[in-house]
Amino acid sequence: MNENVAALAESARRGDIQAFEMLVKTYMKRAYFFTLGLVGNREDALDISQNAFVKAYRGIKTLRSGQRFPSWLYSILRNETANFLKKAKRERSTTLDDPACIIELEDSEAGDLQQTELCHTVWEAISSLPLEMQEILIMQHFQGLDYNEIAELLGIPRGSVASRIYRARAALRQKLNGIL
Amino acid sequence: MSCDKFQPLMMEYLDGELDQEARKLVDQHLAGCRSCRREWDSLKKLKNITSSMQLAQPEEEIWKMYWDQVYNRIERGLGWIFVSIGAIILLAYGAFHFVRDFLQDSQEPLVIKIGVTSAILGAIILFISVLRERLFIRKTDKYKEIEK
Repeated sequence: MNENVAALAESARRGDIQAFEMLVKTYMKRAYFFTLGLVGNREDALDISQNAFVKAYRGIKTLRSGQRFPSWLYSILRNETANFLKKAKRERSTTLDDPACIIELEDSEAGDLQQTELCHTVWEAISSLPLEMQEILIMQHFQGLDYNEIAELLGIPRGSVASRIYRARAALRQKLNGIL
Repeated sequence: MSCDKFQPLMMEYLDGELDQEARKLVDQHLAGCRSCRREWDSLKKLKNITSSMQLAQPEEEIWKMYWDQVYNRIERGLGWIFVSIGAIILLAYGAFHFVRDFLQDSQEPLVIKIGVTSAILGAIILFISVLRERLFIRKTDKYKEIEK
């Protein structure tokens, strides 16, 4: 892990708001995209990720060591997202953004409709997986994290990352049976 | 080695996390196992599709405003804490005086006094119970209960 992050988290623990600001700026994109991948709505992703940082600020004194900041932040994010989805399911209060607003092709070629549609189908299949599977696919595919980083953030052994990715991809493969 | 053992290795291979020696092992297995080969081909195709996808970037403005919005929420949260503390103190003070005067009022029937005292005791017990639950009982992982 970045030593700088650990040092910033230690300073933030001692009440240094500027250190916390640096932490927010370091992790805001990761937090936003992680949440966006799970909730499928840009406004909600922004709201949930910002709320997670507020909770992190309020609870940072309980953090045992600065080294644990990234996994601790992710656990807050996961809880916030889970609570949001539970509430949204109960109240039916959220709508998913159109896949076209969430997913784009890396080298988008105009007119490649077939490829775009395929990507949207894959995205919808990912969105219908259980959250634990979605989470690991988002981290690996869309956040570009390597296995060590994922293991650190989820607090699991590196070997379990590969098994979880396999289970998620196997489930996705089943959902996309006619395409693959 | 059984196919089950190769599945995680196939993922590491696919994601470029495997060293050369282990890659050779997987290659050898894939050459001799038709069902793993089939699975490998479709997972590779899936990986190719997802590699061409990315989450849509929001407007740059979001990142410029991000910290300010977080800071405002922190500040507002602090404001609400003070407002809540003040409101609780004032309400508790008012309630205490109201109940004391009510119980000392000799014109109020005894049965009403007993009813009010009982309701207040019940409310206190409920409040303590909820507070204890929130503070001390370990939360379960709500994440696992969610299914889309």
